[in-house]
Amino acid sequence: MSRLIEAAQAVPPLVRATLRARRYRRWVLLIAAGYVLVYLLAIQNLIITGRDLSRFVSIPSVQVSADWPSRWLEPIAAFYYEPIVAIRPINHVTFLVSPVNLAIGLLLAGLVGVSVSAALYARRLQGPACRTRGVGGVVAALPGFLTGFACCVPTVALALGAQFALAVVAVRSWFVPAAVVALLGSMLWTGSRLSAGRDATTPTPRPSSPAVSAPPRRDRATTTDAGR
Amino acid sequence: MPDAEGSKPLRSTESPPSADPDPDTALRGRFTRRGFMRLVGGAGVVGGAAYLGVRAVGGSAPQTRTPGSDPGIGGAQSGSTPSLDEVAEAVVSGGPPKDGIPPIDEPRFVNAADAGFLTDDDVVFGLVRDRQSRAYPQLVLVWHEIVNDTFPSGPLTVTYCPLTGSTVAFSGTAPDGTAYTFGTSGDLVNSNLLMYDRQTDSRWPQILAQAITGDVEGAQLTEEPLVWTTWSRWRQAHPETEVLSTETGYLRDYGSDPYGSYTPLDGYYAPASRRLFPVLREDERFDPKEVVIGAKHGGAQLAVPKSLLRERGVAHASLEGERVVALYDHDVDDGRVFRAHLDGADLELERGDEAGIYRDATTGSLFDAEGQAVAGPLADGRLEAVVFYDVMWFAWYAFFPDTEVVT
Repeated sequence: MSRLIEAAQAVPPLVRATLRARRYRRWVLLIAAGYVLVYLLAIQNLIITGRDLSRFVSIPSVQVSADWPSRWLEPIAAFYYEPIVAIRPINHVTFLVSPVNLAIGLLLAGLVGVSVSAALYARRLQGPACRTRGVGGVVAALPGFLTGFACCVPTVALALGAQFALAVVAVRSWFVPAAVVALLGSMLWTGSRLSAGRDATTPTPRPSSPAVSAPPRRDRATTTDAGR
Repeated sequence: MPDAEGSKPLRSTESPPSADPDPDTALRGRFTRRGFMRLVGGAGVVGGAAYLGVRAVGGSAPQTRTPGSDPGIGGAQSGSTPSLDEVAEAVVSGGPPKDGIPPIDEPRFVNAADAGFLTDDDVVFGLVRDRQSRAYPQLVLVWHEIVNDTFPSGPLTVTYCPLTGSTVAFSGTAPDGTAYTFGTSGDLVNSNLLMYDRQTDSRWPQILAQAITGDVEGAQLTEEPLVWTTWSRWRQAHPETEVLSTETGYLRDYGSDPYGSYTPLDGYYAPASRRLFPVLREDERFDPKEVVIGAKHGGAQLAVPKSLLRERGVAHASLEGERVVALYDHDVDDGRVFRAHLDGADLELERGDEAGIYRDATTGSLFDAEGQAVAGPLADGRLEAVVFYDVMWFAWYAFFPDTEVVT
């Protein structure tokens, strides 16, 4: 239990330090942007197609749902909401804007970006002994991709086939919470590795400021990163 | 006298080859190495699916069905017609909440000339009522499944279930005297759309057209046939037609089909591909998604494979002692089913000399494929249609295992 508390206490300063370092802040933004893009593609709110969209609407165009004030909170499925704006900037590309879907995507993207970047930052601080490379953050992000819904079947069920349809329907509503929990768990894991690494190198640990009180070599790395 | 042109006799439903109800076998079928590989592969393609769109994944090559390996409810059985209670117990969640698949409550229509969003090969469901012809594009209905429409004679609900390939129109009156309107429950039974009515909140499987639970359990809706055809064929047959617009009040990727494609036939719609949800009864005489013309009359049912009707033109059958006849409509590439009687005379229709014209062997009268007598002693008479519509074989059989089958 005390290790869990130590790990949890290690996370906030680690995140702060990660966001202060320009190089890792860039990683956060890059990873988050990439995640949002893939998330929107996965849930079919961003659609790139070979079909000629000009058959249906003029291009470019912006359509706003007439009932948007009442519609934007209407669920299509768990954690998946009605789009209220359709943006078609060029033929073959449609962006269906659902504020709630976008907010969920941004939340997950932020968590993935911070989780992976913090893991990389912790590894830089403490070297390979830290045993964290952000893979956990990437894996933890995957359930969020599975929330897309097509008519009456989850899209992932269509991808996986008949044998899994019922199982996917049963667990689908847990995908987004599972992704959030897994991402937070991933950050805790990084915190615990950081604590363990510090325990191994520091006789008397100071739980309140674990990450940034690094050995000189890591200080240099931090300074260099921050100066870029 | 032949039962079907081409001298192939009508064969009544025989005891079909039983599906494998062995739970061990079913379990093995579910957890095979192939299944595991599909799971791993599926996870791998999530990113790819995201980029390419679900259609590319959902529309992957049709899989050959392995008998007994599909999911069933306690092992799908053959034989007896399931009771309403049994059907009600077989309801499963499809995932969305009530009206998560939003019905169209204020449909807008455009003239044929303004329906530029349709290509000639796009599937439409056609209906003529009150001398008005309307086309409901499949590319719109696949995203909504229900249109609560209105004609001069009253409300009519047009429905389409992509998972069972069935389209039927309904009307009915609720106990309070108002006309039923419907929404999607988000649930399925035998893979079929389970509707709810907004007057009593009872549950109605589309193919059954009967309430299985709720205040009006056991009540029956009036069914009205729609024609499953292509836009070019329907427009040619009904140039004055109106077309359901894509301005539905909802923003969707109209033109894409998450399940597959009808032109060319691919993905979930391919005849031998797997279904996604359990069914109560299974039969292997045809591929699961072979399209049949399902007909109902007097409490009995008939299935005529569409490909067979296309080939033979006409097929006779007997439903609860009454003769019915299925005619192929060349203009719209679909079948229609009628009572084989007119003005007290039993009819024995056979292919005429022209495409889409049928001759009664007894009176020499000629009929078109819509059942209208166009020449001969019965001219101006019209055959009475029974309920009929296109449907995937597996779904028809799951609800009506006692169905007569033309083979």
